[in-house]
Amino acid sequence: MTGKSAGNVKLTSLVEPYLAVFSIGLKNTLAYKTDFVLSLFSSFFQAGLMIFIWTAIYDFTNTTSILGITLSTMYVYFFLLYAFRVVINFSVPEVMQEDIQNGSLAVAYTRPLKYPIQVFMSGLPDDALYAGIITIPLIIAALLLSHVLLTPLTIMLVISELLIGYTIVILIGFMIGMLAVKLTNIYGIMNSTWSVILLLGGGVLPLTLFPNAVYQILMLTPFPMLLYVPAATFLGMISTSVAIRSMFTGLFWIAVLLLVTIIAWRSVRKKITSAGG
Amino acid sequence: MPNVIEVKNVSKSFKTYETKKKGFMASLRRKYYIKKALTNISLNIPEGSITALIGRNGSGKSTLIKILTGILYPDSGTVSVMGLNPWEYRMKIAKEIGVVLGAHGQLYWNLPAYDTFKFMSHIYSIDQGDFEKRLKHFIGILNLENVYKKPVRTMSLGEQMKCNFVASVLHMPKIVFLDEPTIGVDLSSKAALRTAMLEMRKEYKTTFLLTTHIVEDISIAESILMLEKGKLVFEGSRKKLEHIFGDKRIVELQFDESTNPRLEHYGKILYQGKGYASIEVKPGLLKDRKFIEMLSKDYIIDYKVSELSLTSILSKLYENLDRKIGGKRETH
Repeated sequence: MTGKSAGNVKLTSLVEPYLAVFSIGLKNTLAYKTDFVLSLFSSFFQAGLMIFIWTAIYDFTNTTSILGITLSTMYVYFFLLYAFRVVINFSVPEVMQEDIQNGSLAVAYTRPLKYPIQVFMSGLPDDALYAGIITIPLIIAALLLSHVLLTPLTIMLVISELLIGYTIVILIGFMIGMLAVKLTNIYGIMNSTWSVILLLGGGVLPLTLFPNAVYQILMLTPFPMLLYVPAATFLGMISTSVAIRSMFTGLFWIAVLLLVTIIAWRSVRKKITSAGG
Repeated sequence: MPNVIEVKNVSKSFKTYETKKKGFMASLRRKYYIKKALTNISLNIPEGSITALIGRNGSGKSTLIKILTGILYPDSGTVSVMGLNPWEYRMKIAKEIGVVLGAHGQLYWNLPAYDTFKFMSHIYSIDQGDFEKRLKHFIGILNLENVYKKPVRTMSLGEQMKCNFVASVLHMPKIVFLDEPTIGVDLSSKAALRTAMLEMRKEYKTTFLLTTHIVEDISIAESILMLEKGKLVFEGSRKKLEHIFGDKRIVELQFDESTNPRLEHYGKILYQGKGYASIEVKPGLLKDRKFIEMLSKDYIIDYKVSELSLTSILSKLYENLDRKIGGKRETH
């Protein structure tokens, strides 16, 4: 066997178990098809609510543009946010909390798999399905509605920003999930963290509507990369240079969060107890 | 046989709480305390053996299994599983062990058990041919032919336990840890699980460590470990256990209903009623002249002498522990 093929075999044997986690997770997701289809539309209502509120604001203030954002741009912004939010969600801490509460963590630990990757891969099927069924068609629809002409560079930027945002939310989720080892039930923390992430990530209003000083500070945090930056890049609300700078900020935060997560996990791992005997 | 598991001075404590008073306000004020789950446990398990880990609820059996499988970290002490520290080399050891946690299943609730079996074949890199062969073998032994392709949620508890067992041993592990594997399993299936274990041990020298409350499960173990309040209070062979706690005989007497023989000076009366009595006696009494004379009296219609059952022996062991809580460890 050549060095290259031996390397390939080793890589396959490393990746295959996690692909199996993905595959069985996918089957599990599709076991209840009606529930899956209904869940596809749950966040649609939240996006609809935001569109309703902003329509009222524009009507009430009798204006066609707020800080350069027209109502139709606002519509497409929240339309895109909905498309992104079905993928960028907070499933990781939920899975970890459940594993700790019902003792499934013990079972996960008996398998020759890294627990953090196992958690990530078991949540990935949902996200991949949502991306395929909702996000991509909605982005195409947003393109048609907004008459925005996407250049290959913009497409590349948006995809890269979404991947960076996805990684950030997974890492934040993992850090929140680790709290379940100590606190067992973290629903309250999960909900409040997610609300803060949404607000600071541009999920409630475009970040340009914040005072400039707040906007500048927020752009240094990891949160805008989750929703605001990809949507703003798509709509041409931010320049290419700002988009690229934001991406580097996002990558910096990934490195920081990854380091903190690894160090914290090594310590938390020793404190794990398994519920239910 | 070399030891595949070596445990030295392992201790483990958990922080837990209790609410002593009733009422809403009391529920807000919890009293935290440290519970010692395991105290200074040392033991060895040889390759190819079947060891029963017994003890009452909360005695620390599951905690010990979780430490041996790398799930939990001990507070102190050393553990070696196949020469490796299980929490430092968890991934490596996980490939060589199988774990059945009775309270927590391997199976995906919404999917057929077969999907979990296939999943296991991928995570343990089992060759497709071997997978099919082993699956057929275990499905046959455990009588799961009509079950394993149904969604797990439609299975009985016993069927789930059997499928859990299959999922945990398909990769032919060198050591199998079973934490109460026969919960909810019917009698014939329990026997089938024991047969599967004995076959694996015979064919592949598989080592089994099982925690159980089921006497029949204990009966296939040549070695018994008993935990009580986190301490190892008995370690030895089943024969030793029978020798120490089973050195009694049960004498059942059938006698004329018009008589009421005085039996208390022969041993402990377990039951005495109209025409029937059973007494627990020392084996030496069976050669005692007065006792033999009593048995030959006209009013004695029939009698039967038997050894203590494993159930009785274990009951005695627990009674003994109750008398001297935290009793001195007996090693043999």
